[in-house]
Amino acid sequence: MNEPALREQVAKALVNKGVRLGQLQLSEEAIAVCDAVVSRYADAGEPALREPVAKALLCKAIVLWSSDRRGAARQLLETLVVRFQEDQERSIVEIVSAARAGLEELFGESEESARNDRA
Amino acid sequence: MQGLSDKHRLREELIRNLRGDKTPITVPADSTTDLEIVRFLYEERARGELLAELDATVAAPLRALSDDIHQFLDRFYEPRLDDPIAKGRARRDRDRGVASLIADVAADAFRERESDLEFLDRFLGDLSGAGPRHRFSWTLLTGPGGQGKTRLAIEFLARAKRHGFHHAGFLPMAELVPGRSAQTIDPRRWRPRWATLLVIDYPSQAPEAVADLLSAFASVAAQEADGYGFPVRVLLLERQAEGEWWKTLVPATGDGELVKDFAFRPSAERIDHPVSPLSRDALLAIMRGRLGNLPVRDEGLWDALVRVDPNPLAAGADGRFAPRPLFAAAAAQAVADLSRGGESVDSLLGSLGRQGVLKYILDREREHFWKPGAAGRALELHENLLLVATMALGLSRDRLETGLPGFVRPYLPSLDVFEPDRYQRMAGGDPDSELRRLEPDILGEYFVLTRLQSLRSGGARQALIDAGLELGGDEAGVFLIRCALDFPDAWRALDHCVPTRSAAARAFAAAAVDLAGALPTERFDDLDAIVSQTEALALEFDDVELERRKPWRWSTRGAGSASFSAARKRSRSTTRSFRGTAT
Repeated sequence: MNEPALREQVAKALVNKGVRLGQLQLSEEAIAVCDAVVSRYADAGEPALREPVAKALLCKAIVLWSSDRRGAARQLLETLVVRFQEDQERSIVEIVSAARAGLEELFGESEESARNDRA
Repeated sequence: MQGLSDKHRLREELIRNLRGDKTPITVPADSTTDLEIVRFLYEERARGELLAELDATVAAPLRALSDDIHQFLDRFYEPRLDDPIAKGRARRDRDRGVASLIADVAADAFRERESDLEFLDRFLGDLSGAGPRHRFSWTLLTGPGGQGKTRLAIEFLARAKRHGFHHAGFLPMAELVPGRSAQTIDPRRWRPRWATLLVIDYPSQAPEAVADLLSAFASVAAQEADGYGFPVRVLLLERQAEGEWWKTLVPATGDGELVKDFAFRPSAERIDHPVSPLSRDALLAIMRGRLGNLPVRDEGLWDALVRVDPNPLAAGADGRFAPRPLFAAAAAQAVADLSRGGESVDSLLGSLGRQGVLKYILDREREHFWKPGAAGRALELHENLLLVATMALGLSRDRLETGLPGFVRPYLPSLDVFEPDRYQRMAGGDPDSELRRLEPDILGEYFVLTRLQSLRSGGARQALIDAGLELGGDEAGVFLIRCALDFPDAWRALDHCVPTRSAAARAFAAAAVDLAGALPTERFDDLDAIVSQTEALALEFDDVELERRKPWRWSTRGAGSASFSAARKRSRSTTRSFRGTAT
């Protein structure tokens, strides 16, 4: 795909589609769309395409979390943070901050679960 | 020593100069030249040097004076404001002697708008003690199409004039968007000469231009020393305060914060003022005004109205269903007209449906205003032009002369066939300068979709879709979004109005992104279809022009924020639900 502006629009539209599939509880379909965004645009340098990639990762993590696959969700959130933490784009900074918040929640749950186990 | 021939030439050149031919004298004088001639030459040169010196002396002040004159003229520029009902459509009614639904709106009962008007009165404010900073403010009225925003604004214009806002009216897009007309408002240089109220209907049509206007007004007003000498108010009318247009208007930057500082808000929590839905009584009063003395029970009227406008978006503050005034007027007008054919009012009311009412109104406009005197294909071609202009949310008249793409020319009137009077009867305004869209917008959407469906030639249909999207650009994208939300079946039946040309694909893709965030979840099939179509278009076209478009423009139109916030909300709710499970 050579067309830059249309490529951005496609990436954004696909992310929205992934979110909608997630809302419809169609987890596997949502994950497939998010994966498609990441695999297609992962190497893109322009901010307009980095943002959809970051969103697709976050969306997939949320879907995994909702499907009770917390380990995979946590791994993905960590990947997201490591990959985009240096990015200064405002929208991406927000996504990274949401991912960090998600990680804190997941760590909190793990610790609570461990405490419950010990008790 | 000067020869005779040289003397002769010198004499001739001097005579030519004396007669007015001011060519340079090329033959030099010497000791043999007559003293009279030498003196003349000396005076001429001295005069020339003096004039050059004078020129140099006055050049700078002249330039300054010229700048002053331009600035002075700029200050005298006033945006051309209009009244969408008083101009255009009302005039054609007088000519024809037939009432139009739209022109007659001003005669409908205007009730229960006290709280809205009170809000707007406060927006105008007490002018006596206002300092420069307080001389500018803007506000936003929101409500679904047909809820009465425009009517409210029209009523408010008269009120504003009584309060001293002598320059008050609707600001046409042609005055606002650079390139749309010979002179557009330059918000950084314009200074009001009177208290001014500008109403902008549907700013989502040109969010960048409106954002620039508000930002410039706010910057000028923020300069305490030389802010506005007269109060300036900007009233925006839009469906809702969200979406990409809103993010463009008040971006999350310093500019956006400054613009927000000048917003007149109904409360600290809310930036827009939703136009209140009307009560059953007020809606019935509108219907009764149209029906005249026809005998009909309130229950029958109300049942018909609820059937015509089953729109949950118009639910009242108390949660009860509240149909829109536009449909009350339209339904009653249809019944009043049809009952003259002898059919009973009850039977007519029983058979009314939303699309039936819109169809009736459109047919009526066509029959009384569009069709008379149309020869051959004239009506068809003018309807096609109205279709394209409606999709593009209005076009400059120049487009008809130079800007029409070749592929659509066979389906539109050429310059020698175009009839400004007919177009004026169709859409109002002044077709010599602009080609307006069909309003109100719901009627315009219905017209475009049904007109496209009625075309037997698939080639014509596609050419008109492509032309509308290409000429309208982002505005056409906004139109497409409204069609998809207001008339989903008709939009789907037209294969979602997918374009086949590169420039049109850009508008479609922008609409697809917004729609992917706005369509209800149960309409996932539509979402899936348009996203797939956008992917296919992106694969098909390789348009270098797109690369030159500013990246920020596209980044502000992204799907991202809406879905992102949805994702974050979901993230929070997911977190909460897991917490619940854990404990």
